Amino acid sequence: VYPDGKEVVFNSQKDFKSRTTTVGGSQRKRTLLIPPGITSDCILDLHYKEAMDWSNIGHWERRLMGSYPIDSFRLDLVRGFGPAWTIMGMSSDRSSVVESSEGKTVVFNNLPARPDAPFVLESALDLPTLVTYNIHPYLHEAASRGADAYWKRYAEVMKNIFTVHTSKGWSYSAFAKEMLLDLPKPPQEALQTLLNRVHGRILNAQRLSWEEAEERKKKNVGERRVDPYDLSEMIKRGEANDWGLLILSYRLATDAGLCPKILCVADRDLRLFRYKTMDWNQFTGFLLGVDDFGKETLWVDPAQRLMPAGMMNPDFQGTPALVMHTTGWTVEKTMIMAQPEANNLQEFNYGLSLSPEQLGFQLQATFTGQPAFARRADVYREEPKERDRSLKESFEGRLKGWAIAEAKVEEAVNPQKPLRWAVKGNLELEGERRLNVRPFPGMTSPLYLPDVWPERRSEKIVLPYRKIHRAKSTFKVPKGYVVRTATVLDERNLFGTVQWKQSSKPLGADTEVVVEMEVQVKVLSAGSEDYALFRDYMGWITEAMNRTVLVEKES
Amino acid sequence: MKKMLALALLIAVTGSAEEFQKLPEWARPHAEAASKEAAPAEADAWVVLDRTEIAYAGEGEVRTRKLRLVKVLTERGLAARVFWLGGLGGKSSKVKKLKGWNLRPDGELVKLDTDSVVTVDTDSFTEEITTGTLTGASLDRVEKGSWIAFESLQVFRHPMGPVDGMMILEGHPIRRFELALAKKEGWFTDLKQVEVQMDMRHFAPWIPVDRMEQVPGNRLAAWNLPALPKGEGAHPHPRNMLPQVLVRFQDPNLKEQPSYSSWESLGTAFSKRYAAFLQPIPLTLEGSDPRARLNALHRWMGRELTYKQVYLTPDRGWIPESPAEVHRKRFGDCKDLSTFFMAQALGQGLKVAPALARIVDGVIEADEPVFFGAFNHVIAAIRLDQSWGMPAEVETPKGRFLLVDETAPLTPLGLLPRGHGGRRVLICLEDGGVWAEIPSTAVQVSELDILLKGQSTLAGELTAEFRIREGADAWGLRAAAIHQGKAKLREFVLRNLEDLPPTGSLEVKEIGDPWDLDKPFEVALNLKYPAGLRSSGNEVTLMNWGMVRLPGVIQKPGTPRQFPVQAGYRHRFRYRAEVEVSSKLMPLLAEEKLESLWRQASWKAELKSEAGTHRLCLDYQEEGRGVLFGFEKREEGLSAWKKDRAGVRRLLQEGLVFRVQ
Repeated sequence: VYPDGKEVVFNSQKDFKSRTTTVGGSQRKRTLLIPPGITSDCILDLHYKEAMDWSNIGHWERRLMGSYPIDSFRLDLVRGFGPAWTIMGMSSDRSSVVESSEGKTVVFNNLPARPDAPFVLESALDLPTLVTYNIHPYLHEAASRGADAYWKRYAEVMKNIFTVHTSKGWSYSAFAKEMLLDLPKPPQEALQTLLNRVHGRILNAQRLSWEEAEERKKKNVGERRVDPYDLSEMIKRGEANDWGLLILSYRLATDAGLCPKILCVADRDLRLFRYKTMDWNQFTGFLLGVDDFGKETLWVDPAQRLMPAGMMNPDFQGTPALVMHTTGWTVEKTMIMAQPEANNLQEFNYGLSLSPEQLGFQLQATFTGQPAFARRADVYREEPKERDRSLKESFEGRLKGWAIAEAKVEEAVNPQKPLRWAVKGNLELEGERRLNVRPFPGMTSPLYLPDVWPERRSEKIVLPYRKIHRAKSTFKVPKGYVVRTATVLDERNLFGTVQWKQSSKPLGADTEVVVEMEVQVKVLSAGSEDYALFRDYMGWITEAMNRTVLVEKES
Repeated sequence: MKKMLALALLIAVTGSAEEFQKLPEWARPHAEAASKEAAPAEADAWVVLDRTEIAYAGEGEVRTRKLRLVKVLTERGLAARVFWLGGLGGKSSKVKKLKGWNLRPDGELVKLDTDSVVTVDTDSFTEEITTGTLTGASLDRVEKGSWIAFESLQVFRHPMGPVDGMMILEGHPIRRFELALAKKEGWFTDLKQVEVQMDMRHFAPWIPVDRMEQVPGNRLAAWNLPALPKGEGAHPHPRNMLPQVLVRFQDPNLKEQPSYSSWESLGTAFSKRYAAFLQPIPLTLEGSDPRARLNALHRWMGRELTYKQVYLTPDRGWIPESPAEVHRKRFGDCKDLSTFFMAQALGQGLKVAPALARIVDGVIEADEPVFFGAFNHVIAAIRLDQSWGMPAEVETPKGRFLLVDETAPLTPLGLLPRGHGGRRVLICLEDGGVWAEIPSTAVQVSELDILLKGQSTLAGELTAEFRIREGADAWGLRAAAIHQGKAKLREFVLRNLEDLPPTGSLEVKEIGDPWDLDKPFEVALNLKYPAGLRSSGNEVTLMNWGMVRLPGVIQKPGTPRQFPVQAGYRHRFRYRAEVEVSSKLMPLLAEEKLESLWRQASWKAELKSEAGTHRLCLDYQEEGRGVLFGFEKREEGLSAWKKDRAGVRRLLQEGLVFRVQ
C-alpha cells in the first residue's frame, strides 16, 4: 500500500517460488514469496496460512519477530491446531488475546526488530515466541493436573528408563565390581573417580577422539550402534553413546551408594528451561550429581570425557533446570550457578626476540576449564598433525605477514592435564627507527570485541563465562635502541579487572622488558543499566589488547 | 618375515591391483599407475583423474559425463568425498546417472547410497533467486588413504545453446585431466553440419606444452597439474589468468539460439531478443528535451525501482522482463532495468540498443572467443545523432551512443560506475554488434574527503566533528543513507573505520541529500574518542581514525608468488584534521611524499599557534590508481606492493606522533 492509497495486490503464482530439497527419494518443498511493488515508503501487509504435520515435531520455538520492527503482528491459531502451545513474551501493553469460536487470535503491536546488540542472550529476553510441543500420551493425564504433576510423572518415566527398561545383563556385575573397587570415601571424589574409570573403559561412540577412533578401527568392531539400554553389550563392546553412558554411570553410582541426582538442563543458546511448559523435549542434556556435606553439588556429564573434572558447561551456567532426586524420584526446580573465574584460566607466556630486522616470538600457552574444553572440542576429532596445522593456520590468520614456523597442540585429548600450545613465529622488519612492538602477537582477546557498540541498549548483558586471562611477554631491547616507558593500566568495576603493565630492568649489558596483562571476567550477566560500566570494562580490554611497546633508536 | 611385513604394509597403504578391481573399469588403470608414484607433497587429496566427456546430441542437447578419481591423503582431504553437480533447473537439465565408490584402505568397497545424494536449489545460499540446482553426493566412511571415484551423466539444454566451459585447476593437484568432445548422432539426427569448437585459454604458464596433448575440437589431455596457490591476494580475476576450456557446438539448425560465429552476429541476436520487450509504459517525464526527460527517467527509476535478481525459469537469466511487469514488481535485474529504460527512451523517440558488458569480475580480453559467458551485465545504449557532451558517450563505426547503467541509480546520467573502468561493451544493433571501449573519463572517480575538526582535553579525550564527503561510491555511503536510513548510517560509518573504543561515541549530526547527484554526498557526525590523544613519555599520538588504510598483506611470507599482481583503482582520498590541543606539540613527521605505482600522496603536519591556542593541522592527499603486473613480473609486483605498504606503514607510525615542547 503506497502513501497515495494505491495498492499492489499479489496472490498469484508468479510472485512465489517453490524451493525443493531432495534427499534420496524424498522431497521437501518450501514456498518463497517475492513480494512485488516494495518501495522505501509503503506498507507491506501479508496474510498467509501455514499447515504443518505436527506429529513428528518435538519442542519447537518460533520467534514472532524479524529484522525490522513490525507495526502489527496477528497470529490466528485455529481450533484444532495440533500440538500444545504457549506464547512467550506477552505483555499487556503490546499484546492481546481474543478467543472466538474459530480459535485464538494473538495480536502484537509495535514489535521491535530482533535484537542484534553484542553480548545478548536471546533466550533470556522473553521475546515474543510461539512455543509448540507434543505431550506424550503417557503424560496427558498428569499434564491436565498441572506442571507439578507433569514433572513428577516425568520423573517416573525416567525411573523406568534408568531401571526397568535397562538390562544389566551378565557382564555388568563383574564390571561394576571392577569400577567400584576401593572408591574414595568422599562421595564427590568417588563419583569423579568412578566416571574416570568408566571413561577409561567405555568409549563414547558419538564423540570419539582421533586416537580413540584409530584404536577402534584396529578392534574392527563395525559400525553397529550399541543399544543404550543393554549395559552388558555396552561393556562387552567397550562403547556407548551419550545416553548409554548416562544410564551406565547412573547405575554404577547408585550401586556405589552415592544416591546420584539427575540434573535436566537446556542449552541457553537454544532456550531456557521453563517449568510451566510441560515438555521434556526442552532438555538438551542430563548430568549426574552428588552432594557432600558443606559443599556445592558436584555435577558431572558422563557423555563428555574431555570435560575437566568439576567443570559445568557454560551453556548451562546461570540457567534454570530440573533436579531429580533418584532416591524417591522427586523433582525440584533449581538454578545452576556460575562457576568461579579461577576454574577457567588461560595463560600466554611469550618470549620475544627483537632486532631492527626481525621480531620473533615463542609462545607457551596453557588452558584449563572451559578454555581447555572449548579448544579440545574444536580439535579432538583431528589427527594430531592436523591439530597442529589448524593452530598454525589460526595464528597465520591473525598475524598477516608473519611466518609461523611451528605450532603444536599438546594434551588435546587428556582432560586430566591443561591443554597446551607451543607456537613460534617471526616478522621481517625493515630496520625502522621506531619499532611498535606488539607484546602478545596472535593472542586472542579474553572477550569478543565487537566492531560496533550501540549507543544505548535495553537488553540484559550476558557474558560467556567467568574466566582469568593472563599473559606475559619478555624481550631484550636491541643494541642502539631504547624502550619508552608506558603508563600502567589497572582498572576494575562490576564486570572484573583489567591490568597491563610494562617494566624494564638491566640484564647484564642489555635491558629486559617485561609486559604483563591480566583480565578477570567476574560476572556472568548484568542488567542493561550497567551498560556504561560494561563499555568501560570492554574499553579497558580493548586498550590492553591494542597496546604496543615503543622501542626507538637512540638519538 | 620382516620383508613380508613391509610388503604387506606397502600394499595396505597404496592399494593393490586386486583391490583396484573393485573400482569401475575406467578408474583401475589410473589408480594402479598412481599407486606406483609418490603423491604430491603438501597435498590433502590427489585428483588422479578428472575426465569430462561432452557430447552433442542435436536440438541443443548436450550430454556431459564426468569421471573423477581422487586419492585422499590427509584428514582434510576427506572433503573430497563430496561430489557436486550444478544444474539449470526445470527441464533444462537432468542428472541421468550418479555413481560413487569408496575403496577404503582396508580394501572394503563402499558404494554411494542414494540417501546420501542431496539436491538443493542454489538460491538457498544466495540473495539471487534462480531455478539453478546443486546436487551433492557424499560417500560414506571415507578415510585417509581411500580411493574415491565418481561417475555422473547430465543432460543439458542450455537456453543460450549447446555450450559448456570449465576451469581446469583446483585446490588439489591433478595427476591427469582429460576432456573429450563428440557428436552423438542417431538414426534420426544428422549432425554433420555441426561444428565443434574447443578454445583453450590461459594454459601458459600453468600447463607447459610438454605436459599436454590435444586434437583440436576433439580431445585434450594434461598431466601433473599443480594445485591452485593458497593465500595470494591482489590478483586478476581467475577468468583472466587461469587455464580454462570453452566448448561450443555450432548447430546451424538451431534458429532460436544466438549464433557464436562472430561478435557481430551475436550482437544481432541480442538486439532481436531485446527488441521484443521494448514496449514503453505510460510515465510522465518532465523536461523540455529528450536529454532532460532521460535524466528525469533515470532519477525516477533510481527512486522507484530496485535492483534484484529473480529468475523463476531457467531462461530468465538471459531473457528480460517486460517493462509493464517491472513496473508492477518495482524490481528487476540489469536486463530488466535496462529494457525498462530503453523502452521509455524509445517512447521519447530515441533509438536504443542493449550493450553487453562485463563488470567487476574480470575483463573481456581482446582475443576472446565469441561466447555469451564473456558478459555478466547489460546496460543501455542510446543512439545520439550528435554529442550531448556527456562523458559516457562512445563513438563507434556504427554511430555515437550514450551508455547508461540503470543498476547504478546513484551515478548521474552521463557517467558510469567504477566497475566499468578499463572495460569494453558490445553494443547490440540489428545489423550487428559493435565493440566500444569505455572512455576513462566516463567512469566515476571514487573520492573521499575526511575532515576531523575538534579539540582535545588535557587527559586526551577528543571531541570533534567528523565530516565525510563522498564523491561517487568510495564507501557506498550515499546508498547506505538511502537503503539503511539514518539509524544504520552510524553503524555503516563505524564499519568503514578502525574500531571506535567501546566508551567512544559517534552520532549522526547532519546528512546531505543522497538523491542530489550533482554534488558529493556529505555526512557530519559528532565524535567523542576517549584517549584520542594518547601520551607516552614526551610524545603524544593522535588516534588513527579516518586516515589512509594500511594495504593488506598479499603473500604468505617465504612462499614464491604464483599469481600475477593486480590491485587498486582510480581514486582520490584526502584526510584533514584540525585539533585544538592544550600544549605545544611538534610533529615527528612534518612533511612526507609517498610515491609508488599505486599512489602519489603527500603528508603535511604542523602546529599553528595563535593567541595562546594551539592547533594541530594535518593534511594527507592521495591519488590512487590500478596497476597490473603480469606473470613474468609478479615478483616485481610483489616487491612494489611491499614497498608501497612499508611507506604507508611508516607514515601511519610516525605521522600521527607529536613531541611535547
